[in-house]
Amino acid sequence: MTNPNDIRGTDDASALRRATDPEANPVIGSAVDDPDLRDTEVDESGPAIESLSRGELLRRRFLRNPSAWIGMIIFAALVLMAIIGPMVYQYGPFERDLRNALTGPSPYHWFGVNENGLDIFARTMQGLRISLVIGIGTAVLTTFLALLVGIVAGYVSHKGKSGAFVDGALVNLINLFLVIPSILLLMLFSPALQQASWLWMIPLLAGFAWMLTARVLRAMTQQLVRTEYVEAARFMGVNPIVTMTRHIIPNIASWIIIDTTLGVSAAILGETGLSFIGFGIQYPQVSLGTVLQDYNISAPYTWIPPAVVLAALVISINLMGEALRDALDPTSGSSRI
Amino acid sequence: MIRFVSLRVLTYVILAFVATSFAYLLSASLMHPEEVLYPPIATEPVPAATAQHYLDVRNVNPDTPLFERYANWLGGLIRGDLGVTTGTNKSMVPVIDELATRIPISLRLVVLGTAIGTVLGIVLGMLAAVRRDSVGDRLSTLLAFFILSLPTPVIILIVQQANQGIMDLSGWGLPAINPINPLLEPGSWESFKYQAKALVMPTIVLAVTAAASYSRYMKVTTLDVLGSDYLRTARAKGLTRGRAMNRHGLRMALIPMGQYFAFAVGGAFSGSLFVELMFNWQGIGRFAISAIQMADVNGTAGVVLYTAILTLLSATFADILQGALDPRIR
Amino acid sequence: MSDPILSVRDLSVSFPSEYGTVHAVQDLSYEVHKGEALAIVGESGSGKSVSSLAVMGLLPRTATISGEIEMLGHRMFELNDKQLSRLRGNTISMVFQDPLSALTPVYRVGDQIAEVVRIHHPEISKTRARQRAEELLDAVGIPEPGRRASQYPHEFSGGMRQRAMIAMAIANEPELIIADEPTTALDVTIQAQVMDLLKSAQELIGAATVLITHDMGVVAGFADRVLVMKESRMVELGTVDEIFYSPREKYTQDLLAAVPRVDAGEAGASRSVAGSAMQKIADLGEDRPPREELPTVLEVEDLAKVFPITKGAIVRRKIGEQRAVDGISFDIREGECLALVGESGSGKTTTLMEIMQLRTPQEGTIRIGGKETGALTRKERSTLRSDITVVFQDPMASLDPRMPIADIIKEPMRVQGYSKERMDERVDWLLKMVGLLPEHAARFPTEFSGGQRQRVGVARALACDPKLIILDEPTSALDVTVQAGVLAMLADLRARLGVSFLFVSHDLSVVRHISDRIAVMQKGRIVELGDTEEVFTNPQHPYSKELLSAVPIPDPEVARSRRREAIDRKAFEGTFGGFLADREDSQ
Repeated sequence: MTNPNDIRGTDDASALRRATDPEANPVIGSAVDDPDLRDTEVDESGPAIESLSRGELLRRRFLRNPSAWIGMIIFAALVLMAIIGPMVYQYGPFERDLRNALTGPSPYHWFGVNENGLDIFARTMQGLRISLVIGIGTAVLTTFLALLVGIVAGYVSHKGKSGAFVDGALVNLINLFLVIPSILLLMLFSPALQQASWLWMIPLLAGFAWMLTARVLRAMTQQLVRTEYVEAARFMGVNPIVTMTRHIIPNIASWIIIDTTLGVSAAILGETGLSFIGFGIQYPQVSLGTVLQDYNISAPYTWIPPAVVLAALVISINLMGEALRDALDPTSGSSRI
Repeated sequence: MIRFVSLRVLTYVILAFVATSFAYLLSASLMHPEEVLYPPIATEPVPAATAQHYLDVRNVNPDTPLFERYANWLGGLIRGDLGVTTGTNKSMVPVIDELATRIPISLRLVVLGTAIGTVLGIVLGMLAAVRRDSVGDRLSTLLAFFILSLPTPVIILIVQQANQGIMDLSGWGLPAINPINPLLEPGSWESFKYQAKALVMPTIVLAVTAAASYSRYMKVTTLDVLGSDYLRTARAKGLTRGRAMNRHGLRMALIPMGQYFAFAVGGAFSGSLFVELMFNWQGIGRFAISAIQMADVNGTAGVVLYTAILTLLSATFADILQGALDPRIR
Repeated sequence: MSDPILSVRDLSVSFPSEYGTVHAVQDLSYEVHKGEALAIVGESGSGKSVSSLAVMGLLPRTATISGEIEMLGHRMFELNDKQLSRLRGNTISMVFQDPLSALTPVYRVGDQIAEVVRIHHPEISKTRARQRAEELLDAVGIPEPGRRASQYPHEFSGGMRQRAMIAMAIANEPELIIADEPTTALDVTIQAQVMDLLKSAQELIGAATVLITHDMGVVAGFADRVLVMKESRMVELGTVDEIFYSPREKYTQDLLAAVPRVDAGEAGASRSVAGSAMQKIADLGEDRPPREELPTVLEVEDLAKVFPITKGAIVRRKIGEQRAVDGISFDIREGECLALVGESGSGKTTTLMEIMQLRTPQEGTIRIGGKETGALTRKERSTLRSDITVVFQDPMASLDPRMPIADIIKEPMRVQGYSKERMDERVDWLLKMVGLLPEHAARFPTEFSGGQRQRVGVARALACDPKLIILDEPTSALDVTVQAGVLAMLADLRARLGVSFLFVSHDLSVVRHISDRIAVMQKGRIVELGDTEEVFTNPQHPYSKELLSAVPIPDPEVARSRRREAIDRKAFEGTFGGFLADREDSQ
């Protein structure tokens, strides 16, 4: 999605270069070269500093990062709120209390009531549920689509003329999607699909969000295909699909996890934006975007609570994603001067 | 260089054409203009012949085969005619005219916001990278992080609320809605002043979002440059850190920004859509929303054509810039 | 001896890292005197580059430095960036390792050279500085300096870029030139030229030089004194003759012994480790039947690969063609090792790829075990994949970092449908075969050093009992001492398993002891093919002779005798002899 708010686009294949560059990355980095190898005996204990497995190291680095903890705590709290909130709260998202219309927070209406007499807390919690489901669902589906297109395009691009043609076609498809602002296309499709089910928002959003990720994955795959271990697999006669699943996907898995995490927040932002202008989630469902739609500048409580919840949700996810990225690539941009 | 650019422009034109055609076919098959033919308050059903005629004149009759409608539209496109608007009103306004009045309104937003945002983002990103881990770096990185975590409507609401707060306190504030005050005489100094003031808040919103994402990107590319061998060579030649960065680093760091810029203008369009909606500007964004709501096939295709051209112009601009910066691709 | 230009006392440099502090340099002390050439020799990770960056004041800010560096009375650590930058490029200059990335890609080469003049002599006009840049390019032996000066770095070849770097380094007649692995990325013939140029440039301007290198051969012809480093500490410091003829420390001796030599006639006479290991094979080879009676493993006949050079992006039209491989023929018999030697761009890699594709080549035929590759069915081709395997150059890149060693070695066996028990059994055996322990099977490639990883690569190549192993520069990414060990292992494997090798290398000295026959490649053709001894003792083709004479010899006397004058003194003095002379006076 050509969303300026998409926090992901900032790192490209350069991330992979760094991730596989032994000098820049001590995780993958080579052990200190052992010049005494002539006496073919290998020190039993091995180079001690490398004995930590990669996954363990990533986990430690992630957990050492305070922003990871902040993100996880906020996210867990929001999920709990989304689950428990509507269960215990006395008002529903569509119950009208017109007598108290446009009144501020009170013990009965925790976040206040909007112009139409709808309880803002009830609506925010319901919206949070929907936004969470849509965000996570869309991110997973987006990653799947991007993986499919990106890896296939990257893999076949070196395989002769027909491969280059397929790759070229896929790249142009990606560019085509980038030329038309995806929000316009979403607006076109949304009303038709909304009539069926609000869950259609997931494939719809994913259908217009995979392009940037696919582009990066394509570049990464191209780099990996050129590596000697993939070439070695080819010379051993390993089947291309096995090569992709055994060699390529595991080597970009960490990037994919990060991108999926940040994709959740991107999808939530996309959905709320669309709902805000009236093309996303509609009655009989509520999303945070629809709640925000009822804003009233002269009554700040009509928009601040849902905005805060939305911001907290997106920020917590982004914090986790960034912490993951830092754990994967701690030396990113280590400077020489 | 000229070859390179002209070649790129040709691909862009093809891409724009395909994109617009795609949008036309999509909206023509998804939308149902016959359902919003007349205002819903109409008491009796419209005679079939009248409805048919109405739809035929506007080239949106669902009984006409899709490709015939597309061919008609294409014929018009070649003549510079994008068809007429459809919807609840019976007046047939040519889409071209509608766009012509709205584009200047939108464009001043997009151009100003993008320009300020780009420059701000590049400067901030580079400073953050050069002074890594300084207070300024942490602050700007954190700020960019928060801004990127907020949806555009919320940013607009924050800006509007802040303006409202100032207005309540001091009695002086910026106009919150409408780009032009219809009560003031057009072309007068007062009217111009009002327009300039009305532009401030929307521009802030667009510039801030653009700057946040540019600064992040610029920081990454600058850090890459800072670790490069040629910058070390430049310092070994006797340039100080700052001068080496200015002479050798900046230009190299800007090169990858070009490609990013090309597609970020599309993002600026999405941003301007919210701005126009919430500040009540009668620009392309509002037109797009109403066109889709009213099943206006021709209008929607027109909007897509506009955005495609906008994206392609900025991509061309980015290419020229990149060609000027980087001799390797000439 | 005169006062030292540079004196380094108790220098220690450390960096913070994930695993605690890394001590890159510890307690290093040395002095460099006027006009002297000091070589700092060490293997990767020995701290040699870090120590020189410390002299330049170009270490990253995260580095912790202690000790003292004094340069012509300036205490380097007491100067700020601005004061240091007045020295850099003017009094000390530096030539970096990788000339591809060391020049700013977006500026013309001439402007980059002119810049270094103008930084320190702002009074010189732009045009004059530019003129000076052209003279300098001329002096370092770049033809058509006028045209070349207005080209960009990507239009230069690697050797030319390094020449331009040298031009930049000598532009202001510095007192000290630091050359950090200046020839590592270059071909051997270019390497010889660049080293000659560096030496004569140094002599011309009378500068002291610090040469940082891992290659003892390069040192012999260049340095007056040698400092050997190992694991961040100094091992030995002495004159070049002392170090080469009577090294005191064991490590220095090992380092010297590990260097493969082209000049050592008899393997027995060589002190080289690889040589002595190879001796065994020579003994074994005595009772081998004559070559003609052995079955042919690989036969290549008139193989050619042509890449079209196209122009125009809309309508691609062919404007020419590049004959990467141009009709080459050779064959390999059972148990034989053929070395394919050539510099970059000679078509070695293309030849390998064509063979490994197991498809019909563009022109010519490839037969493996008598079967033509073009006529293979899919099934036959898949089976044949186990007969012909490859060991890659870079042991870091050729093993999937996310797979344990056992899985990596099993991969080819899995393709061939081996049973699980058989695979486990073979993994143990293979690991032992290449000098690793069966317990290593569960570890990941990153836990091993370069040499060990290359052994894993060899084990994988051996997994399915191949008839032929293609070795693509298997040791060029390794340190010399490690390289010797791997070479010895390869020779041993060949003797024990009777497998044939196609050994591709750019380095003649490496293949001397391992190969039976040598094919010298140049511009896509095999210019000479013959028995190893014959090629070495009596090369026929001029290119073979040039290659042989370019290989650095780790013997100071021999190396000194081969040195050539490489700088154009006249061009260097140029029209600017004036300002440079003034500068001399003012000092």
